[in-house]
Amino acid sequence: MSSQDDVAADAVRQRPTHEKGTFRGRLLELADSEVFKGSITLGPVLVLLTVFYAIPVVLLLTYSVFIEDPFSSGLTFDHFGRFIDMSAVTSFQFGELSYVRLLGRSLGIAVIVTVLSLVISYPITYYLGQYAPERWKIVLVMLVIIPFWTSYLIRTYAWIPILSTNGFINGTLTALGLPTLPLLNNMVGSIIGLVYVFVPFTVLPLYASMEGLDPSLIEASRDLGASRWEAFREVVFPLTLPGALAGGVFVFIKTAAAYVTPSLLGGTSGRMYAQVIETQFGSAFNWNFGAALSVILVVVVLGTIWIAMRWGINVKGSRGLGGGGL
Amino acid sequence: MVTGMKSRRKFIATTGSIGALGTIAGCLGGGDEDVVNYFSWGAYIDDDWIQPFEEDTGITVNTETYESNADAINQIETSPEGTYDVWTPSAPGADFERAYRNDLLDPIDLDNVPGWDEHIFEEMKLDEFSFDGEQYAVPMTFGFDGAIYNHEEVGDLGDTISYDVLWDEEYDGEITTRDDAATQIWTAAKYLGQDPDEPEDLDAIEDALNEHVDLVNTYWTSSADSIQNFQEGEASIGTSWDGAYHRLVDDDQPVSLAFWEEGTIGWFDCFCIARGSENKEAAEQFIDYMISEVPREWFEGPEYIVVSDAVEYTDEELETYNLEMALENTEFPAYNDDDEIQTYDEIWTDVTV
Repeated sequence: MSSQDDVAADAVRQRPTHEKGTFRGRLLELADSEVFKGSITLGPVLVLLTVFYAIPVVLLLTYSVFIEDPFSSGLTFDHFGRFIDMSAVTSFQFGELSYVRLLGRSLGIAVIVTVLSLVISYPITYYLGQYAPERWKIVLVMLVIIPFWTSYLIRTYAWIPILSTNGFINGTLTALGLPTLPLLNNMVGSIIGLVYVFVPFTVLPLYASMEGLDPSLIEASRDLGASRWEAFREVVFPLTLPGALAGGVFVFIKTAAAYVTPSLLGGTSGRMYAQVIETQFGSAFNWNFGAALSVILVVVVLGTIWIAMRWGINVKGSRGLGGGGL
Repeated sequence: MVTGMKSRRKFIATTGSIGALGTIAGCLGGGDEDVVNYFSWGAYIDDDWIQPFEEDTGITVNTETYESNADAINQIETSPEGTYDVWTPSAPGADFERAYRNDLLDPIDLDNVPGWDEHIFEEMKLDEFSFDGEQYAVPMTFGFDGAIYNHEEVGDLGDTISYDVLWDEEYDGEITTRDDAATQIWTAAKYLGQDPDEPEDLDAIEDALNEHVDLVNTYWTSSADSIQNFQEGEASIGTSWDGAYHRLVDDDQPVSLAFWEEGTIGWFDCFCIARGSENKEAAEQFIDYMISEVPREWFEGPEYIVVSDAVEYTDEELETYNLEMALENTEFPAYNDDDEIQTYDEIWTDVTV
């Protein structure tokens, strides 16, 4: 570093001097210190994360490894063992692995909801990002956001008179002389409700990606003979993959742990994993097993996302265009 | 178990409830002589009934709702003592006994509740409301898990029907029952002729429930859920609380109510004093008010059977609520210990998955 640089650096580093020894001076020195500034900026975030994330997670982990009450009963992994009954595994009685099957069903529903949300979001955001007149964009985006102003619970309840046997859709079908459809109290009901609730979470990040997509790239691909589908597959999709992954991962996580929507719309066949967790903390009075089920859900969902992220990076590598990661 | 639950409370208290304590104390004002912290089902809370009490006595009633006995038990267990004064679990039966065993109840001094002698029907003063010679519950309403059916859809089945209908393929896809492991085991045991409080063949019960689940359209978890199932045409027959039936009738739904031939689950919603109440006398004053001087609208909201003469029923209403028949036809399920609950929960999870 040159001497000129040193002088400049010294000027930058130079701190105002305070009267040493006085209370005011010490206070000003403290206010000027890196530790204080760090605490002010990082402190609230750390407190927030500790209170609302770290402590609950530690509590869950703690409950999951004690027989009953933490620190007053013995350590055990039986709660995790109850999730996977090894005797059923060794005897190939996989049908008896109820909790594993239920988790599998929840993850399956989460995949379906995520894919459907993306399929619905792509044409909407493509229009918004590429074709919508500038003055209408904000209005159209607001239409996506407005449902958030209403309670999640109310929005979900609203589907009951639409999907039920006596509801709007089946009433219309009956009036037209057509047979009614079982849309409520099954997996279809759960999926419809979840897609409706979570579509905005894929629309918004995808819209951001579409906005940044240079239309000349699409034009170029078309000029070079690509069909619309090929242009989407080779240009639009890879370049908007980060937005799709961001929204998709969020929807997947939220859906895998969904409780309210399957409770209200899912009936028996739409039952999901989080409902069993709730039962453990409620009428089953078994917090330890409920905590173990929660830990398993977190691990499985994070593992699935990790795999998906790896897949996302590979897509980026194979296309050589944008995308990749979050 | 009692020791275990105390440890859980202690653990929760030392890890996470300091903030909650401040919040709850701020909201509820625990420890104030002129306050009653009332924790109840939503149907049993309304300013129309509570405000007159507050004006007459100068006691402020803070309210908070819960949606099931299990929710209430968990909440009281994990809250600092004194957070709640009066709560209303169902009694007698499994949840009430759990509350007593887990030390969630304080005894009620009936000298401070003159309405007990003046208004409560003698046949409703059950021995099971007491433990070790001390009174822990004062009944307010009586209800049961009856059979409800849409008589336009399934015809007139009478006022006493068998649990067989819940296993009858004729009603495939039209049945709704309660999403509760203990209730389902109890019902299936009755259907199979077993002792529902000590079922001898759980494998047979699981098999029966596996047959039942294929016929069910949906389960319900609250009175509102079961009402909705009939309103929306999702169910034409099933189990529900009698209060749900009365509200369906008010909504002009073509439904009928029946008792189950093999035995019907009954329950009282009772006033109890929460452990560690710091406003016990005010709480007893509130309980006395609620069973004796409350306007009849108080009871007509939830539409369960009132167990005191504070309400002067008309002959028509007496016929509708059918208290004598209700008492004769109902049973109170026994307490299930943690191992039994776990076993029942596993069976119910297997069945529903």
